[in-house]
Amino acid sequence: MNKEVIKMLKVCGVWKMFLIMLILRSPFDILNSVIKANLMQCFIHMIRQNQKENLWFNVVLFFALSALLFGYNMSIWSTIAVKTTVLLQTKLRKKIYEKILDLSPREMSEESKGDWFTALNNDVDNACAYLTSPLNYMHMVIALVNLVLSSIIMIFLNVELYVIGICCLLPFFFLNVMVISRKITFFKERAKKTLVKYTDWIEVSLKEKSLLSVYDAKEFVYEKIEKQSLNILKENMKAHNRMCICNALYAFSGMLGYLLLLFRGSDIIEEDKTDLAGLTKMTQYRSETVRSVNCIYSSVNNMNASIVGVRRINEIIGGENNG
Amino acid sequence: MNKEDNKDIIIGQNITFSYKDRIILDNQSFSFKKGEHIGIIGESGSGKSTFLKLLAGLLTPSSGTLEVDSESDPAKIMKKISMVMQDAMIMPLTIRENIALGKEIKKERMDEIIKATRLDLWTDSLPEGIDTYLGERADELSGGQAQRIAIARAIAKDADIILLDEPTSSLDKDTIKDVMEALETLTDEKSVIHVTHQTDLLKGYHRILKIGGGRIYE
Repeated sequence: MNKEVIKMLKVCGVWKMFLIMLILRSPFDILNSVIKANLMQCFIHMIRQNQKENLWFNVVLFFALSALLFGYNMSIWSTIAVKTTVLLQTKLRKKIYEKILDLSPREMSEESKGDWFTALNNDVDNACAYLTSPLNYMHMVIALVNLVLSSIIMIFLNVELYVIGICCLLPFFFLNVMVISRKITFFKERAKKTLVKYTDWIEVSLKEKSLLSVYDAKEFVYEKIEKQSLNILKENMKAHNRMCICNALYAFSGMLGYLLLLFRGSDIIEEDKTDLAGLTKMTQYRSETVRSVNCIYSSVNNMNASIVGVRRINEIIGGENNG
Repeated sequence: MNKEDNKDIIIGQNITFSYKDRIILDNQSFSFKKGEHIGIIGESGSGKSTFLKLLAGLLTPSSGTLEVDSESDPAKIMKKISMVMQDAMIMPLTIRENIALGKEIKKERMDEIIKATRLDLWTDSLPEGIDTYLGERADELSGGQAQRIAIARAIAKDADIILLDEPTSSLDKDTIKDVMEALETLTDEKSVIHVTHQTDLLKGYHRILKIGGGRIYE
């Protein structure tokens, strides 16, 4: 985990709670993968062998296991995740607020008011998003567990098909990570800085409305607000466009891998090394590895965007740790 | 004061204004002449600043009529006045932009304004002069520098009526002297209504009025 995040969690005293939540939540995806892959294999076996009674039993079993799994997952989210988020938000805002109150007027003036507003609102939201929102840290860990265990299972089932799947995936992954998405964090940081300027202009428009009327400068300030708002949108759109390109490449690599797997899979079936049910199980695990890589990638991108808020919070409350 | 300018520039008749159940003016009438310098004093919370906002057209009286330079429409009144408040409005812009606020000001005129407010003593030492960006951290400016920018803005507007709302109350003694010098440039040959609790700043003013208990009186 990022050092900045660990530091923030320790300062807020929710470190253990978060760890428990993470451990409880981690097995969800891999358990879901195992259930789906094995039951798909069973279904095909039973259909081919015309075992209708067993098929129905398995369908019911599949629904029951899925319901239990999703029920478990939901209870983890609704009890621990929500509580942790609320607790973290409350503690972070309190820490920042206390820090602001402790500052001397000189220290206070070293940051603009927009900085303080952004810290209390947007940065706290970012920090909580990093830890508990979908496609952030939590999903990255879950996807990582799923990727590693699905890969191990696939290697045991058929190394060749696993290698084909991975070979179709890795080039696109590195192309995305090393070329296309590198600037996403940069764009997000610029959007955040622009948000501070935007908040400053909003403050001016509210605080100085009398003078702005007297000096006929309302339109002038409104144009500034519009300009900053447009700049935020532009930076976010640049980041969004890069994410779209990445997603398109993943979709392409997914389809390519699937086709190659089917081509080679049909040969393997002809060689009697496996049957259709076995191949279906393999494709199920392969799709889990692709989904996991995609999830890790999206999560890392979102985390890179959210970490900007965590860094800014640590800059404000970090002094406490040292003192 | 010039005799031919001896006409009423601000006329308030039977003005009543209350703010959150507190009566600031209760059926009061007053008039200020062109070029007259008026000091307004009163206890804290007596409504001195509110009175200025009424004159500026920023607030509307609940009854009575107010005419400023023959205008009664608040939007038109605002065009006739300049205002300098206790806290100078400084925006994340350059010094030049803070003075011009989006208006076109010729270089010669801007140079005059900068000299008149003695901002040049500060801006000449800056690498980018009056095009120095004050940034989001405009609070780092000294009170005197910020107030001089506010006065420069008021001079740039060149309105006939100047409303001053305790422009020196948060400054130290030496800075007050400097800012008052800049204010003299701004208020020369103008109608001035100056709200303050520092009565020594009102020496030489034509009249000093007091606000309190819903009345405005000499």
